[in-house]
Parts: sequence; structure tokens; C-alpha cells
Amino acid sequence: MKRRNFLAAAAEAGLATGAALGLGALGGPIRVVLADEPRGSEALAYDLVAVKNGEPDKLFDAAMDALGGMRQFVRPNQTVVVKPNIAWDVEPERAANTNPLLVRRIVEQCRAAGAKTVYVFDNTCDNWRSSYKSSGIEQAVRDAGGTLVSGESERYYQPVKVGGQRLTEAKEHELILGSDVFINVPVLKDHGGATLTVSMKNLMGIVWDRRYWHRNDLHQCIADFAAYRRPDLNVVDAYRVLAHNGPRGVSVRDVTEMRSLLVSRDMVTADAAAARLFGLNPDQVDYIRLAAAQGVGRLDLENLAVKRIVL
Amino acid sequence: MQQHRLKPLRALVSLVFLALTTALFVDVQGLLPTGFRDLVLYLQVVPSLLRFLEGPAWAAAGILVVLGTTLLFGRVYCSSVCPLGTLQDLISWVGGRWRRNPKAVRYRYAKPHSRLHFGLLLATLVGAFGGSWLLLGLLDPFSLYGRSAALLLQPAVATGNNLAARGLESWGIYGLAPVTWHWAGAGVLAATAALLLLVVVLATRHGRLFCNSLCPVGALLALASRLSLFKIRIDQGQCNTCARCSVVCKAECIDLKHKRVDFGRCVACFDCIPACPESGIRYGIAWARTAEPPTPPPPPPSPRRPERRRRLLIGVALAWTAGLGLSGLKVRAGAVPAEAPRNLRPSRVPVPKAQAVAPPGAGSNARFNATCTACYLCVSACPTRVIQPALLAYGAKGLLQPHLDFGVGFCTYSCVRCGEVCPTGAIRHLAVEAKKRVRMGQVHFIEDNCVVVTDRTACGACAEHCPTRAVFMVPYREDPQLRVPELDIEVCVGCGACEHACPVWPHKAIYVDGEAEQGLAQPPRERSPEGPAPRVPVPNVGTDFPF
Repeated sequence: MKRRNFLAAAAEAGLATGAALGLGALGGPIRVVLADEPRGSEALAYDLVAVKNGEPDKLFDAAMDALGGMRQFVRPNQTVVVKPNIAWDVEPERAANTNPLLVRRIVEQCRAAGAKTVYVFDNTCDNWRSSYKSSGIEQAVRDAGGTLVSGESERYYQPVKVGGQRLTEAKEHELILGSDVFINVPVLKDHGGATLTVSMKNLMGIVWDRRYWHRNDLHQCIADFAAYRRPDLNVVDAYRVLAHNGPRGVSVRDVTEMRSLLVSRDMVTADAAAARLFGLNPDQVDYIRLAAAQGVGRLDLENLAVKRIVL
Repeated sequence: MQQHRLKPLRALVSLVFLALTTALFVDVQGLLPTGFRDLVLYLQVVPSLLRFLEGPAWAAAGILVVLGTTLLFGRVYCSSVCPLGTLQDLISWVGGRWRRNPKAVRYRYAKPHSRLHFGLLLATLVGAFGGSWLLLGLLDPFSLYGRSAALLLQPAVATGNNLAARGLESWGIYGLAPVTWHWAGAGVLAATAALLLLVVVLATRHGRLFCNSLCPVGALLALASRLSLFKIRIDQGQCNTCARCSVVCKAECIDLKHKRVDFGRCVACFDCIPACPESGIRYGIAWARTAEPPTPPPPPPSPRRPERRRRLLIGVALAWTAGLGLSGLKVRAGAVPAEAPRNLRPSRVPVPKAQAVAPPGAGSNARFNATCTACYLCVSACPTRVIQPALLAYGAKGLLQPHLDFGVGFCTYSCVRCGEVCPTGAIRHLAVEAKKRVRMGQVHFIEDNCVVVTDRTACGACAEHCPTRAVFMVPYREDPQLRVPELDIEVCVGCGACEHACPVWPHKAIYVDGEAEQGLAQPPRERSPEGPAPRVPVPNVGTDFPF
């Protein structure tokens, strides 16, 4: 942290402490961030559901039907946080962000399952306001009755112990810590630094300091964090896939239409299947190999219960 | 119309202009549309003048409107439109209520500082022909006000916003987003605060003395207002020299001894009209005189007060110089960010930057330096905060002018916000597609600092952020499993995304150096020239899955 930022933060923190005390006295509850607890541990019918040949919303509906509906994951009155990839200030056709129609459908289904609040955020790379807007996700979430939250403010990120090999601690967005259900919605893309970005890589958007990961063995940090934070559900958008020049892409010519979707509770399983869909062997992506070796999840797809649906 | 209503009307109009202008500079959530800026700032003299000089057009003709109004009605701009003028009125109003002896005479006629005032105007013009608007930028009342609002008021608004956001957040309401803001460097802050302090002190003691001794716009309009059709005049027959008008005259320009108003210095505030119980001071057509005033004898010298003023000016100048010195220290101290935790092996090669990076659409540093008055509206409006105030980023010629600071952020590829808001046209308003081709600077790679090379671990943060693939990843020659950045400088726009994203500490492995002349970048290529052949994913449209 730069000194002047520190001073600014210190000044604000000082004022805010006073204000928080004042608000507390007025009867507002002071937020307590609880440590992660295991959620939704009931066995599912399938370890992986793969759907293809449909529009993003129809793909998701089909996957949910196969798994027994959204109520398997979201109970009435729960708070849900949906974390798509909204990293870039580009339009949906460029496939650099998660498909807005998919995000919309997920939020709608969460609401229909009785979710009290459905939060949506990402710690974007480009300016968050323009990325939310250009990606179409701002409109999608509004239409579906979800709540967009900024990922750009450091104060939303609370220190957590990760306890990995290279990543021992991080600052994680408080909505992930405080919500009942965490749905991870990455988009499958080529990635110049990490080879491929899917579920585990998408979690870089729920922490504050990504630079630390980049300068301390990126693949190991991704695997370390994946061992610490396991989403309740991973929905991989492979409707449009950025085949090269990822993760941002230069033009629509970088995009291949695959009209597919993967759903799994296990990030390693989801990422391994996504790698195959992309035309890579999962072993070629270091963090998938490392995470599997650390026991984060399973990449032996042939031994798993896989539901394949073609619409 | 009853003439005593002119004063409240003027006060209302001036407060509206002040509020709207201030809103532009403290719009931390970016809510105000571009058209709003055009409307509010249309009549600002210096921005309009600079625009008009570059390309006469109706959109830049605010200066003509102001000059025309002044020729008709006097310095209405100074009393109603100028934000610094209204600020001074507020300060002297508050000062008047809080002073120790409220009954003491507030203002009295003072002799003009014509030599200083018009000398400064002349110096400004001479400087302008020499290619430097330095003095104008410093003393232009709009820019001076803008700097003060952007640097001193905006942090307060942002902090208020963030406190409110935090309060709502504690109830689980996330609708109000916190905003990030940064302190300007100590030198910039000191310089801005010193000039503002000068204005405050002058306003507290002598009303509109700044406008009538230092302000170049005041000097220009003073020349015009001497020829005004409508003027404030004293009715020789009605006036009984009670001095009620003179003690409320912020411009200290009512000369009761000779029953004359120095209309060049009058800012058309109309405070004198309701103050007169005899209706002896009125606003009317200048040549419809009732009686010839006697020729004024040379005013007696007042030995003490100018001496104090001189001391004050010297004090401010000293504070300024100290600020310049301090900022030099700040720049050096700020070169190494103390950001923990760090990479395993600190990078060793210092970044050799030579040129400041001007905002997109500046044309060239020389053009930018000659047109920017450092009002900091771009600083306030930039969504990523990459445009930061600087004291001497361009050397003395660009004193206080803002530059792109990639330590704070980077320039969004498709954003033209700074050009939209720039009041003087120093940052041209480009179409998005044109802006995407502007080369603000050029990327450089220091392989010895790169974490892929030093630690043999994957990174790619720079290439990831590059919007044009001017930075892309190629297999590393010593370990083909790893990929290192490669540059395609012809497509680089100098947005600084790579530099901002580069994680190594303390010296970046990739950086953007400014270009004295902003060039034209090639459009992004479909495939980087030396990049890997694109992978072609299996288009899975059949009934089988690859797993």
C-alpha cells in the first residue's frame, strides 16, 4: 500500500470507527464475518453435468433439472452470492466475460428457489462500472432481481488464512464469507498467463491482491486457494469460448461458439472437463494438476458419474 | 424592475453557478452527463478563450458572450458566473459576520493596483505568445477554483460517500459503492492550498482585491467594462456622502470624495444600490449623466497598507517555493512503493522513464502544456483515477499539469471521459475508435525484472491486461514450459495496463514511457506476429463429449 493511500485509508478508518459506533448505538447490527462452514453436503445424482447445443439459459435449466432443481443448492430465505467473470470492459460477443443470459437465468432460479438476496460481483480488471455495463451483466442482474455489488473497494475484503504452500493468507470479499450459498460462474477462456481460465482461476476475482499470486507462483497460488475455498456450485459457461488471445481477446475473431455448459460441485472436475472441451489435456494446465494432487478434487472423469445432455 | 432586486438576483444566479460548477468537480460517483459540463462551463472565460483560439466555433463562443455582456452590463461574469468570485463573496460574507467589531467600517475606497493588474495581464499575454500559459493557468479563477475543489473538496465528498457506504453496508445494503481516491502529492497540495489561502486572506480583508489586482480575467473584463453601456453611477444631486454604499463595496471602487465609481473595478454585484437610502447610486446608461464630476486630484499615498500586502505576497511566494521543494522530495520518495508482501527476489533494474504520459488526445506534450490550465476536471472525472495531478511532470512549462500515473491505475481502452470533460480542449474530445489508435506512450520490457525469468514461475499479468496484444506471451527460450512477454510496439497505445498489472517489486518489469508527440498506433492484429499458433478447440456440436 502506498503511503498516501495508507494515510487516506487511515483517515477514513478513523472516521468510520466513530461512525460505526454511532450507528451501533442507533440500533444497527454490526456485521460479524463468520468463518466458512461446510454447506450443502448432500450427495448429488451426478458429479458432473455437461450440456450442449442450446442457448445459455436453456443449457442451465437442463443441467438443474438433471441435478434435481435449484432447491438442492438454495433454500428459502438464504443469501446467495453469484460470482461470474466480469473482468473486462467488452461486449458479450467477445466472450471475455461470463454470458449475461446465463447469469440472468442463475439469478432468476435462485430467486425462484426462495433466495432472500442474490448478490453478484467481481473484482474486475478494467474499471468495474464500465465492465459491469459493457458485459451486459448489470442489466441481466437488474432484470432478474439480483443485487450488484462493487468489487473495487478494498474495505469489502476481509483477511483470511488460506494456509497453502505459497498462498498463506489473502483478503477475501466479505460477501463470499457472509453469504449462505456461493455459486461460481466462470467463463471458459484461453489465458496467456495461466494457460486456461475456468473455475479455480475465477476465484482470483474474490480476493483483493492478485499481484501477490502473480509474483509467487501463479499456478501454486490458484491451487492453494482452491483448497481453501470450495464453491457450493460451479457453472462453467462454454457457450462462446475465447479460443486465443485470452483472457481479454482482441476481436470476435478470437471466439468459437461451443454452445456448452458444465456444472459440478468439484472445481477440479469442472476444470478438467472444461480443458477437454477446449482441446487440452487437464495435465497441461498446471493448476489443475497441482490441485488434483493436493486432493482438492478429482480429474479422473472416467470414474465419475457424468450426465451428458444434448439438447 | 426595482433596482434593489438586482442584488438578490445576482446572489441567486451566482450561487447556482457555484453549486453546478462545484458538482462537476466532486462528482465521485460519475453521475453527471457530459452535456451538463458543456452547459455549466460554456461561459467560463479562460477555457472558452483557449478553445476559441484553437478553433472558432459556436461551442467555443462563450468568451464572446461574456465580452458582449461586459460591454453592455459590466463585469457580470465576475459577480455571477465565476466560481472563485462567488467563493470570495461567501468568504467575505462569513468573515463579515464573524469579525470582532461588526460595526467597524468593512470596506473603503482603495486606490487601484492598475500597474500590477494590467502588468500581469500583459505578462500573461506575452507568455502566451511565447508558448506558455503558465501564469494564466495559475491565476485563472476557474482553474484555481477547480484545483481547490478537486484536491481539497473532492476527498471530503469521497470520504463522506465512503462513510455512508460503510454505514449502509453494516445493515447489509450494498447499493452505494465506496469510491477510491488518492491524495495528490505534497507539492501539488501545497501549491494549490497556498494560492487558495491567498484568495481567502485577500477576500477576508479586502473583498474582491484578488479580482482587481491578480486575476487576468478580471483585468481583461475591466478593460471591457470601462466601455460598458450600463454602469453604476452616483447621482450627484441625491448623494449626501453618507458612505453607506462605499462600506459595502467589495471591490472598494466607490470614490466618495469625487462621487465617482471606478467601474473598471466594479464587479457588478449591485450591493451598493439597496444600501443607499436616497437612491443616489443607481445602475443606468453610462452617458446619461446628470452632472460632470470634478477631475480627481492625485490620491494621497497610503504608506502602510501596501507594505503589509507586499509582505503577504512574499509569504505566499515563499510557501510556494517550499512546496515546490517538498514535492521534489515526494517524487523521489514515491518511486519505490512499500507494498507488502513481495516477490521472493526483489527486481533489480530501475525503470528509466524519461517522459511524462499526457492524457489521450493531448496531441503532444508541447500542445498540452500550452493549452492546459490545470483545472483538474479530468482528474476528478477519470473513472480509473489514472489521471493524477503533478507539480513538475512536464518540467516548469507544465507546472501543475496532470499526467497518467500507472501506479494508480491505467487508461481504459474504450474510455474518452477526459476528452469529454476537458474545458479548454487541451485533451481533445475524440471518438472512441479514434482514441483506441492514439499512442500516448510506448511499452518497454525489462526481462531481468520479470518474475517468469527470475523465479521461473508463470505470470502473464501484463499480457492479460493488454487490450491490443502489444504485449503477448511466447515460450521462454530457457524453459519452453513457461511463457514470457513479447512486445509488438506498433500496436501499443501506451495505456499502461501492463505496467499497472505487473506484480514485481520494487521495480516493474514492464513500463510505458511517454511520447513527446502522441502518434498513431496500428490497429490490433488478428494474430500477434510471433505469438503461438492459435489453438483450435474442438467445436463440440455432435452428440459426443470429449470426456
